[in-house]
Amino acid sequence: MGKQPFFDDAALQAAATQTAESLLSSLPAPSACQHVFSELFLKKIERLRRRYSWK
Amino acid sequence: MLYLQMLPSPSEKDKFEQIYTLYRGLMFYIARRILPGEADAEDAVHQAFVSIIENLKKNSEVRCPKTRSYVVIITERKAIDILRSRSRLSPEAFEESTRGVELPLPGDGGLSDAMSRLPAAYREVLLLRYYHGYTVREIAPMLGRRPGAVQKLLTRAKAALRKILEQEDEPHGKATVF
Repeated sequence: MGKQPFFDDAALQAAATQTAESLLSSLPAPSACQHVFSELFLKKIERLRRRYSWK
Repeated sequence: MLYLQMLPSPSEKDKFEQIYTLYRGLMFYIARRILPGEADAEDAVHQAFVSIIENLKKNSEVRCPKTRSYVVIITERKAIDILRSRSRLSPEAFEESTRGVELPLPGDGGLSDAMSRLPAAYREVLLLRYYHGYTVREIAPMLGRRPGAVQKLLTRAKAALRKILEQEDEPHGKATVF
């Protein structure tokens, strides 16, 4: 039976930071992602805003 | 659908509107990488905004890597949840077989690479816990799970990490890509 790999919270934090950076670097900039959303989607977002009494 | 009962402050309203304006296109891009149909992808983006609005207080500045990462994780989760609702696999089997957004290996040959190879559900919970610093109780509503289920997910994610690292340590072993 081999030795189990050990990692503590500090190692997990460092690895998670690197993983998040890798994830974000693989994605386009938000400004480069354009999509014309459907009327249905826009209505649902409007309903979400109203639920929060923002209107 | 249960929405938060508390009224948001004006600054939270501004934050939501900034997140909506800045990230909705990216969120759709993420959802479309997981879901084949535009309508489903828009549904995932909407579900992600419901989660984001319920957890606005827990977010950092709008234009920062942590908020961008958070938005990506939540959108990926909602898109995968739509896939899962149509799957015949058990929730656990589905979690262990779903990769989500493909990401390049960071290249450390160790823990970071192993984390990047994990199935999406495990990677997401580890990022929320160890990159964003959220507690299990804070993560639970973000993922639409009970705290106990999030704790179990974290435990399974760490076990999966160990398994990958053990396989890498074997003389002729090669890490399993989930």
